[in-house]
Amino acid sequence: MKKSEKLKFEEEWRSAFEDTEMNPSEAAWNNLDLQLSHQENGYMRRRVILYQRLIVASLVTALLLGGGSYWYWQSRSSLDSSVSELSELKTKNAESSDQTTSPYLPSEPLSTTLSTGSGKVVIPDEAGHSKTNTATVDGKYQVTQKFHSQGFHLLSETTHDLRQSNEAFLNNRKNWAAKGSNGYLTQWTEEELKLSNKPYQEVSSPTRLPRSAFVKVETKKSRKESNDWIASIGGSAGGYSSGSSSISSTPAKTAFDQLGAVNADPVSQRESGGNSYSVGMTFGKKVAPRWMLMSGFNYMNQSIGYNSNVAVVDAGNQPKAFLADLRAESANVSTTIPYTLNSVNEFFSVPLQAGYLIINRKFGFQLNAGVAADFFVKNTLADNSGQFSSYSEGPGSSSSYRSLNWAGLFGTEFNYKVNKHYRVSVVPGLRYSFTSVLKQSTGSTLNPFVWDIGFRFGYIF
Amino acid sequence: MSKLYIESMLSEKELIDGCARGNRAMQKALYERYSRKMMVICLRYAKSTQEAEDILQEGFIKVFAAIKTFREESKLSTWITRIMINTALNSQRQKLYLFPMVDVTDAALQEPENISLSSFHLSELMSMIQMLPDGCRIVFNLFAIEGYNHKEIGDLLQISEGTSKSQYSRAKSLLKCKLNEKMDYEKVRETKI
Repeated sequence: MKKSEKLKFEEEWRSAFEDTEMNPSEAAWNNLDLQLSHQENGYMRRRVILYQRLIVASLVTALLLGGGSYWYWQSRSSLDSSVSELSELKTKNAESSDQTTSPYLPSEPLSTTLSTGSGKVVIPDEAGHSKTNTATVDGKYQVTQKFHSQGFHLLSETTHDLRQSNEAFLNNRKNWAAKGSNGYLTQWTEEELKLSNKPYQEVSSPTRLPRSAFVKVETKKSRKESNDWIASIGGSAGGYSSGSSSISSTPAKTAFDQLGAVNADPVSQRESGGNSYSVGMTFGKKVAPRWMLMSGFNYMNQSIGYNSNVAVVDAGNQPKAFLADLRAESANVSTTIPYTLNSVNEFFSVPLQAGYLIINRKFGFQLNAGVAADFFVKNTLADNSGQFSSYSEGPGSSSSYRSLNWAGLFGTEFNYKVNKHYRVSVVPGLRYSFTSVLKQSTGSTLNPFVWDIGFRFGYIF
Repeated sequence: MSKLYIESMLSEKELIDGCARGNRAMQKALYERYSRKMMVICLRYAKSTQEAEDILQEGFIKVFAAIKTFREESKLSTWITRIMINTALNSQRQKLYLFPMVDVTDAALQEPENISLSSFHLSELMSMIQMLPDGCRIVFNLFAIEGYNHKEIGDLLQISEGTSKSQYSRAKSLLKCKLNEKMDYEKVRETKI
């Protein structure tokens, strides 16, 4: 057969079917319509479930943020009250030991220094909500005061040498105004001047950085994939609250003159807020379509400030920072001028958590809850001024700290699956110690409550 | 104005946009416009009307799901036709897996003389195609009517080019035999009358 004849055969068939039509049965559209309806219902159902999960996620996040804010403001107010109490304590101590020469008080009255200097007061912003008044004396000292627009005293801070002499500063300021050396001073009302009736203190708001509850979890998993295991590393940081500020008092063992000993009860006042951070590794295993079981190990560091008037002298006659909370059977404890110190507790933690995958897609969201065994590693007390040496204490029968503490964990996890094997997560969480970190024999309790935000990088097997 | 008239007045763009929004009336209008033409294609690949309607239904589901991605680089009818052919091929793949196509060397089959199809009704031609073995029917449709070459068919069906050629050759021979038989039958009947 010739080629043209062959092509003619195909051409015949092609033209025979060209622009031809045949009616499908009525049932064809009905079936198609039914199938489309099923698809739409399924799609709507999936959307409703997704929205429900998003609502739950939003509520949990709002609760976490609300809880964190509550603790933050509570710790702020506790800090303010603790500063007042410390000031009163300091004044009382100074009065009771007026014959004692303290190395922390200025060698000459401040009023003398100020009266011989040239004063300058600046009010940079009268229209705003606050005013800042700055007085410069001999170019050496600077006193700054901030007032709320309604006259409420917010913060006063001075250089170290002027810290305990606000009354002297106010007197001098009145003198400057009377001399008419600076017209701006006349704008300060008597009411504003009376507001500053507290000793000037350098107040630094507690820095809040996170901690961690190491939980690594799975987010999105393909139904057919076998990525049941995940390993992740990461860290977290956040705020740390001791529950409530406490004042502990125990009888002093011995008074030492070289510590500037004063005749006062031993007192250690804990601030209500501190910092916490942790780093570690977590392993997770998917045990059910939406359930994860997680464990791992973390190093955890919790620090909190104290105001203490207690110090201890070791065998080498070296004075060290100390707390009235702690047991020191064999050491010599003495009261001294109040000072601030930082207490750092270090733990090795092993968490065990269950996680429920609320959203298990490219972006995932899950709820985690569980317990952690916190093994106490070390406590370090460091004097912020450097006057006293650091004091360290590990676990053991003679230690003031429990070797093992149990904590409850609760948190959420927002994660993003980068690809088949890697994912990143943001993990806001809460941790509360059921058992007191301090032993019962110390007479004090310390149940840290930590809220933090962690970041994890995970590998999916 | 009747509903059918309104539907026939809709532009292709309006149909595409309506279907992309999931508007059921627009989906039905699109179906009404193209289902008859697509039914012919489905019948050519299927063994029965029921099987063809299943392919048609599955094909339109895919069309409605993917119409958001239609970029108007080709005519809508061409795009839908391609989806229908792919759906039909998918539905036939299981059969091809069970009865794989092999090279056919049938010496008994002679190349018959050229025959005109103009005297045949569409339904007769359709039933002839449907009576072909599965492999032959698919290759015949792809080569003779859709216009694919044997290499493309080989790639589509994961068979060799030679297998495609031999399957087509067999289909062609079988069809010509059927056509000849039909013509002979008609001649005898006319003679008797």
